[in-house]
Amino acid sequence: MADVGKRGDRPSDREAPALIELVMLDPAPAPSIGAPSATPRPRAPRPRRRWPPVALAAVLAVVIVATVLGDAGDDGQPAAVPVSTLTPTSIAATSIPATSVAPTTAPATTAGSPVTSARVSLGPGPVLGVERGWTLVSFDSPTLQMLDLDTGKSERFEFDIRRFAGATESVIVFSDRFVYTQHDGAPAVWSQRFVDKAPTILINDASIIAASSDAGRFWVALNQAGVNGEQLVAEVDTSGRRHNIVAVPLGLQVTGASAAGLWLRGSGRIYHFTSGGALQAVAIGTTIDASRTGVLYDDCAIAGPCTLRVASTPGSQPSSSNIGPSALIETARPKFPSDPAMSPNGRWLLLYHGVLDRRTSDQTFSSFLVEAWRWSPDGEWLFARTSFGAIAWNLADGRQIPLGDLALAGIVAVTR
Amino acid sequence: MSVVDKPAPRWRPVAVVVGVVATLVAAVAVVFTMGNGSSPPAAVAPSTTRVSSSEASPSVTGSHAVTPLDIDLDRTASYRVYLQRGGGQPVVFAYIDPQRGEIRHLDEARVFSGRIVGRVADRLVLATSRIRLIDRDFATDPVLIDGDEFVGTWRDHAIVAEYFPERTTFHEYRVDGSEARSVALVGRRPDVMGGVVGDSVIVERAGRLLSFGLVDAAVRPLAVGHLLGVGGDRVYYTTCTPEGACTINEATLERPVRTTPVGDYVSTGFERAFADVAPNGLAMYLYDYRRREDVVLALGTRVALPSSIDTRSRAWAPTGDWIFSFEQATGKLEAVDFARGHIVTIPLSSADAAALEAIAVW
Repeated sequence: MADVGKRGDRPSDREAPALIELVMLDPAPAPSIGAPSATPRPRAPRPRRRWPPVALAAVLAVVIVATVLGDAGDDGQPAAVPVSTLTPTSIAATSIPATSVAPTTAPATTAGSPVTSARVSLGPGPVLGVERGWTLVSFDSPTLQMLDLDTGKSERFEFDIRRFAGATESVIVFSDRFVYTQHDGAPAVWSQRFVDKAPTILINDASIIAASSDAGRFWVALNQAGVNGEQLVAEVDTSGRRHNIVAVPLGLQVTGASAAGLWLRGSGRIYHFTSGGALQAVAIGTTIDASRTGVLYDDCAIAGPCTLRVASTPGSQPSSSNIGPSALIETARPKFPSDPAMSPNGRWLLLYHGVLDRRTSDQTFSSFLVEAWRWSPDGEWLFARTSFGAIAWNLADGRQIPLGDLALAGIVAVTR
Repeated sequence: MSVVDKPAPRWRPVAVVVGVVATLVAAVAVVFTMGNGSSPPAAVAPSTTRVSSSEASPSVTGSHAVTPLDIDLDRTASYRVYLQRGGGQPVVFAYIDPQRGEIRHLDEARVFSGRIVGRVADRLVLATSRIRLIDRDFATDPVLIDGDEFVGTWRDHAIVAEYFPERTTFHEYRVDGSEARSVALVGRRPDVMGGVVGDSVIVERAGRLLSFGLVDAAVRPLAVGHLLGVGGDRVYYTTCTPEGACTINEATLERPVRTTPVGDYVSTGFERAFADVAPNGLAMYLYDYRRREDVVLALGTRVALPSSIDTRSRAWAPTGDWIFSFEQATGKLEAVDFARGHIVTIPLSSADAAALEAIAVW
């Protein structure tokens, strides 16, 4: 009803400026034939003086008519405000029969070929000071960069940008190829060699979950459900061969790969699930980070503060250890797909503004934000994309080595 | 005094001005006549609140335009169905009174933005960045109360949570906005704020369900699980055994009442079930992922909702026997008596249907 009032107010609103102009015109009219003298002649008619305001009013009236009719559109009706129409969305179809397909070569038209290969200016010799046998791979679709940390030699590959749309999040890089999930219809896992022209399909009706602790393997979720509707999860190698298939009970969710299987969570409990299908509850809390070393979780007292803890793979280490007060430790959360915050050797925990040494409980603060990272295999180096560029960061001695223009959006350190 | 010496009359410029104004008014009248047919502009109701001419003409009572509704709804209901527009900043523009069988459009000058998140005695709770209490007729000015989130009603008082880094304070407000008392829960903010059951607030924090006493400020563990919701004297949650068997549990503060296997109600590969618990706690809306249909679990009985109902925008009646839903694309508003499988389509004017973006039932 307020709208009615507004509509009623509009005409008078428009009159207001016109009246002001008329008042201004009247005491100082434009010179005219009918105004020979400045001396007032009260009773003398001044018919011509009426015309300027009347003409102005007429002009204003015409303007108003033109304006309103212009707004009205062709049919003379006021311009309609488009009504918001939301298209109903339907629940996506779920289970599609899984089919294991032998590696197939994709049509050559979808493949791109390497276009450049060049050395970076990191100097000759080992980038990290000593030869470690590591190659750093950075994939930021559609560009893949490889940096040999022993020689400083870099290679750059460009792929067809259309191929990896939406796939970057799932990429797992191996020494000579990377695998990714393509969600064009039913999900499928593809493999792309660094130098080949065409990708090959590894598994139909499956999507990548996480890298396996077993080198050269990774975990995928199959679209095919188990007997009772469970999620089937398989450990596969880079040729698409399935090594283990386990059924994750309904209500549980995979959070990452452990040293001997998978970490799961479900309604407050944290579980370890071996590659052989043995399930064991290991803790109660909120999962923060899952890695081969252990699962980092927030454990809150019934009536009190919360503590950050690590639950290790059953049988390998003490089942649970204390990191510190959750309120004082802000674990790093990646902006881009990254490794876990916990280093592979379990010593370091990457924080939002630095790193925590679990041996000493000391925190080292950094002057930059870490946006994405990969750990070296021994856990002592962190290759990170930061707010100041890409760096190699030795956490033990504090060295930080710039890595040039390496994108490091999706990076991995691999041994040759 | 000679005529010549007579001062110039003041009515002349006034007359000119009046003439000009009259001309302008006439021009505007012509414009509106051409644009809208014969309807004068003041008679045109706003597009968002106008009742279409094909329906009963509204009568105006005070500041409310009232239109009778010929619907077979719950005539004993004391609740109302509030119709809101405005998306991110919803505004109630009308409400349906099932008991009276009518729809009342609010005076646009008296509406206030905010989601209606609850009812405390005869007051509604409006939530934006602030929380306010206002009478059900929107006749008086709202009362502002401090806090971050409305939790629920306790003994005709409003319980509002205020979050601090390592403490959550629960304020108890009277309906006039004055604070009766407050109690604090130590530790970080809960992950899920359930509501009030008995004399306790039910929360989930780090995988544990806790009851926090509003009388004694004591924290008691209820279960390990994810909180789905509360209503009446019931708490609904999912829980998994150490062996990995997961169920939906219905419990009182003292003990579990019944359990349902979680299987059908979680998407494969995910741990969370999404539910909507009726305010009286005797029923719960769920989505069945296996059969791909909306269901209600009422006292352990599974009832499938009619497939024609769009349940994405829905609200329980406080009595727990009707679910109101509307289809945003068409503005179709329906009420479903799930126990009887009875669907009532509530006739809305085209303007109301176009404006409708959210509903609240309190």
